[in-house]
Amino acid sequence: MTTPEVIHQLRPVADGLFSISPPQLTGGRCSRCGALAFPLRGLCPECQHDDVEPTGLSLTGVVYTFTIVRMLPPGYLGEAPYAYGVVELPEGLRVTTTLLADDLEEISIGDACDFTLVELGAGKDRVLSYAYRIAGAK
Amino acid sequence: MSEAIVVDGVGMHPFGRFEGKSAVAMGAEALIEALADADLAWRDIDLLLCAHMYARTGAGHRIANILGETGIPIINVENACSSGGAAVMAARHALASGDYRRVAVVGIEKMPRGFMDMDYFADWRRDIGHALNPGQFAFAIRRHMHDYGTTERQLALVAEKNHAHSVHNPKAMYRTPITVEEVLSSRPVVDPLRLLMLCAPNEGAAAAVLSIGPERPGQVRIIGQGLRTTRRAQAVGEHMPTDSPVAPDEPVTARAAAEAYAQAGLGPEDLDVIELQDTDSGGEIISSELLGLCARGEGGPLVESGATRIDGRLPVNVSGGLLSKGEPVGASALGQVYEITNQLRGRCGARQVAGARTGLTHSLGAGGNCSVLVLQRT
Repeated sequence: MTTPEVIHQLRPVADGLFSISPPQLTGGRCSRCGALAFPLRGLCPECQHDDVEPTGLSLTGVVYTFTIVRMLPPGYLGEAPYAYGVVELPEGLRVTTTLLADDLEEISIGDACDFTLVELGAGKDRVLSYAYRIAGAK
Repeated sequence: MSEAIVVDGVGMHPFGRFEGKSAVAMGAEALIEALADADLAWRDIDLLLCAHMYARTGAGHRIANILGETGIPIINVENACSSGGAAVMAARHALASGDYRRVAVVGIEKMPRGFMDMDYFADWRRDIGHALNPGQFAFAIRRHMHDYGTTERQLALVAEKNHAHSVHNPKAMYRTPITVEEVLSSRPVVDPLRLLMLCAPNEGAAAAVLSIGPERPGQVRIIGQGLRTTRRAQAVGEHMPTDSPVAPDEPVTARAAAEAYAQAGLGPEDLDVIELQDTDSGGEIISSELLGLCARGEGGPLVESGATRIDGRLPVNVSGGLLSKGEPVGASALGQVYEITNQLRGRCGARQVAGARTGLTHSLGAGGNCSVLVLQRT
């Protein structure tokens, strides 16, 4: 488990994806039409308005679909196997996310899951990223 | 368009692995074959379109360096796995404009082995393992299995069927039949997809020479095309979405097909032979439905019924599909045009669909590009 002290020392994998205190994904909400997107974009993808407000996304979601990757993809900093998928958030947005579970084989569509920050990689490639953890998993 | 777009000739360099041979050299060979097939000379061509993804600067221009610099306009087209479909669209419109009378379209590719290294994604998505094409295929079919009860066995049957077809295609990379059991016991790669349910990136080229003119008997004509990209609400698919609103949406294949059928003035029930994008087994099942070959959710039972086998009611991927041919991304869509054109001319030997008159091609790529072509023999 990544401790809060470690988290603050790690480099986020990219700027603006999530906040650390509190741990939460950062989406964008259009100030004109209200459309939501993740990550935050400079222009609203629905009405192209340029005033998009950063907004924290839900800490809980439901697995819409997922896969377990058993070969190492080019450039990936972590280890295989790992799971990632699409999580549906109650505010009406689906996001692609790493999934954590005690047993990857037990992940199912419809599982409830909770947001968490996660460390990935080793040495100088060590970064802070994000995931949703299957509810009930440690 | 009052006049018809005619496929005068097609050519194809085999798909596979060709050590020491460039994509451009393969493209030149495919183009020379297409010109001979059309009974035309290179100097007769007044526009060249070259589809590719990995061939770097001026790929089509380097093909002209091999065939001879005739001074014609040359345009390189990059639209990921659907590059060839986009090049055909540009060719159709160039011909319809009246500015060009003979257009050559060539698709070429020479790809690295293994998972594609997708520069389509932001670097951080590569870092965290989200930049993975087969992952998206897995997302799509996993959800389909959940929604409709599609089974692993049905996925394996797609691979078994396409490999059974490829035995008769000398230009396919893999030409050995495989059993359902072999597919189901192959290595899991991206659950629920196993190694033998995924196509291999590889190398190859294919070409077509197109013209425009009044209808003559025996011609193969392009009578409809839909080229579309995905919309934001399509949650999963080859467009590699990273977020989507929860909202109703019609997937891109269905929208491209609707346009192609409308232009052609016919529907899926009129098709005799279909080449669709089977980058993975799940893709064939889902695309069969979206192209209207069966109802939504019935793609698994469709392959199980045998209807999509070469001797079935709706033969799909009689070339062996990308699962057997491999997928040289810039060339794959024109490889489909090569197959369908030859099917409609009755030139496919042991893999010929008897009496085929109307056919369809379907290609799908990163960014959500989808091209559907309807071809018909007059």
